[in-house]
Amino acid sequence: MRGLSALSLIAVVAFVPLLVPVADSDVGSKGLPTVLVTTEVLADLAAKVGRGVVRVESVLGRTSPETFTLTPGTAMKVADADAFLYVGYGSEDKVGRLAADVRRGVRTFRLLDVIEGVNPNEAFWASPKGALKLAEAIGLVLVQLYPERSDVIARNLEALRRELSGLDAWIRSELESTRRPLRVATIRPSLNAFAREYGLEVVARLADHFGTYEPNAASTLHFFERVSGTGAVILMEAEEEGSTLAEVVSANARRIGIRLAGPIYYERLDPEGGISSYEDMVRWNVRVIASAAAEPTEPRTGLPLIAAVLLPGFVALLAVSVSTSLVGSFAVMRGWAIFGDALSHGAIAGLVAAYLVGFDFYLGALAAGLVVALSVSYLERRTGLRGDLVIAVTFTSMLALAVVMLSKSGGATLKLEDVLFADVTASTEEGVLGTAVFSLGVVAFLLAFRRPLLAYVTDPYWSEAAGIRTALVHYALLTLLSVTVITAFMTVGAIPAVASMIIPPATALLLSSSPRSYLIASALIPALSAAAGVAASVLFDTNVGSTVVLVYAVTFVAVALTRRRP
Amino acid sequence: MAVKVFGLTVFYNGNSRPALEDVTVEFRKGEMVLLMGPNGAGKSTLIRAILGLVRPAAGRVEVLGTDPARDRSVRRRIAYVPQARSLNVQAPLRVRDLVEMGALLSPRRPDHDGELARRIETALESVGLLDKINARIAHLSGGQLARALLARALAQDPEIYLLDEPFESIDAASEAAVLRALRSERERGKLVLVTEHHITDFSEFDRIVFLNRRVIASGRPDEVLSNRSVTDLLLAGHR
Repeated sequence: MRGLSALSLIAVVAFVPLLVPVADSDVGSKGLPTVLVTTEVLADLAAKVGRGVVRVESVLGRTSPETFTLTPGTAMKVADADAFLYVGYGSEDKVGRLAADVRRGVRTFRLLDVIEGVNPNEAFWASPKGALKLAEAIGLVLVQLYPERSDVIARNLEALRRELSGLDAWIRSELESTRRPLRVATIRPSLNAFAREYGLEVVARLADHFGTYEPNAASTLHFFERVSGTGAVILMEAEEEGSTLAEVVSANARRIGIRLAGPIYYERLDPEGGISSYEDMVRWNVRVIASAAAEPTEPRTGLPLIAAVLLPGFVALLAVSVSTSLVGSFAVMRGWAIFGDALSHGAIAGLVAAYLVGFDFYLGALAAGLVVALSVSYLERRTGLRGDLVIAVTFTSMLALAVVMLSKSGGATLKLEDVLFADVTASTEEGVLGTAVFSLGVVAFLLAFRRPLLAYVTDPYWSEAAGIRTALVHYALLTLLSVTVITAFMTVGAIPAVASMIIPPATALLLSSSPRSYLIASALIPALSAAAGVAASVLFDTNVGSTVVLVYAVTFVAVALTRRRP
Repeated sequence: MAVKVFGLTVFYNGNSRPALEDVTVEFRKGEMVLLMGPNGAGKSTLIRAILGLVRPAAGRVEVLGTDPARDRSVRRRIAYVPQARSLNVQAPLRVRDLVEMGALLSPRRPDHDGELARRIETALESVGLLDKINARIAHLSGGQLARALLARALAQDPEIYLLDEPFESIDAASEAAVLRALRSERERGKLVLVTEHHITDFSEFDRIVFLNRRVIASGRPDEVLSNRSVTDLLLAGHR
């Protein structure tokens, strides 16, 4: 126990210089102490309140709070700052708590703890009234930190109060002449507080908080029912750019004929787009709302809403799950069951790289998947180590590479959750057509070459002796597997893609006694599971792809419990 | 002559010692030969060379009048029976499906389903496994699996049989069934070449070729097994 205390003491002494700013660093490069805050919008408000007292910096910049990772460099910056401020909403709250951990809570302030009368699950600061509450909380903190500068802080706050009051009057005049009722829908609860203040009606939002959220068929359907039933315009948030939620909304809105407007902002600024301050942001948002209101939307679709939202995704899911399962049926017999994991992790690295250099996502993921496939094959031969070991080495490395690239990317908004849980309701018609044609091609290839493939995966030595070009078959199967799994990955997300390759063939192995029945089962199980999974996801309000995977799993367990060992 | 091997030397990647060195040997049609030798003697390498699967450093191989490495079509006339453990028994194959693989590879491929079915049944009957035609290969014993693999070779109706340690861990009844079927093929004028390092019944073989990277001895079983070099190597292997 005494040893432990001594260790703790050494640890504390060792970390003190990192965590608690020493007296000398109280003065920043511009002669003012540095206050670090989370978002750019918060940084702008804090800079106004603390003008002449502190220098304010945003730790997030363009990075979404959801993708924020703490690198040693950022941790040093967080530890070195004189104070750390955060609002405390959704994923931004997690960033604040991460910073509080680094600083051992020293001079770290969660502003929602001192703000009253706001809904913490809404972007309450998007209206000037809410922004003033936030500014007053910042003022309170700064006065506590620098009581000797309270007069300056009070003057700054007064100036900001006047500025926000002028902004409020401008908003009212801008929106006065717009068509009423002014109905809008958003992805996140970014406009609810603003809407209450200025007489807008937010009829629907896809996610009701700012945290990690996986879209699901039922909530998507409900969202579009509300939007199309009320004639609302969907306002897209800039912060959601490139996310699965944004894809779900834009693909379905186009299909149903609902107008999209935006982007609107609530957390990030865009100096290149002329949005350098909180005031710029509000003025931009109001103009977007006013112009959206000028053109009412008329939903038009020949299909019932449920079909418009779910049918394309279902067709895509059906196509990729059947083709992936059929390729998987040969791959698992060759002992490549874990290969799908290597491919999907490789694809994540490829996606991040493509995102960073502005390359096509699909091609980036495909290139990385092929690199993984060939590397595994080469390393297995070169080292003589077992395939599962080489695969495990490769996929762990690729995932680490993806995270390192993301943490070096600065302004990345790519979210790994979006990659893992891509949502099929985000499918576009062109995408579905492409996927269906591709999948038919894969199935045709497999059926045409089923005999040499089957011979190779069951008896490689005999196949080679029999004159089958086993090296060609090996690389053909490996390439087809990579292309198919990556295509599924991009269509339905990593988990359903990998699961489709493994679970239905595993179930089929238990059920079948001949190659013919095995292939038929490997095609039928994913097809029926896709239908059951989509229905269940609507019924239970769950993510489509993952629900289908659970149907696979339930089927497998049911078969495993009722069949004797093959 | 079914197979001619002249001065064959084979190296494997990174090995300075050859797997086979200056091997010259011939095998005739209608002959049943046992290829013996200690572990690492090059028995499997010689089989692979006859199949055209290894690149010789020196020498050449002629099978049925052609070079098997250049003329892949000759491989259809050779039936290779791998060790039973090389087969993925988890595969959803019935005995029928396994034997069908051989029938479809045959240079005299059956023209219609009826003939294919007859070919499969005849092959299984020869090894006494017809009652297992619809059994899944995962449900076979070691001996039954070895017989099923031989039935696949029989269904191919080849001119040469190459069997890689077919008697490894099989029961006496299965060994007898395999030898019976092979004897019948020899009588039909086929070359039967079997590698094995422990076998109980040598009397079925016309000739033993004893290999230890080079040909140590070749001749009638009783001659080879009384050869001093061979007995020394065999005793060394058991020590």
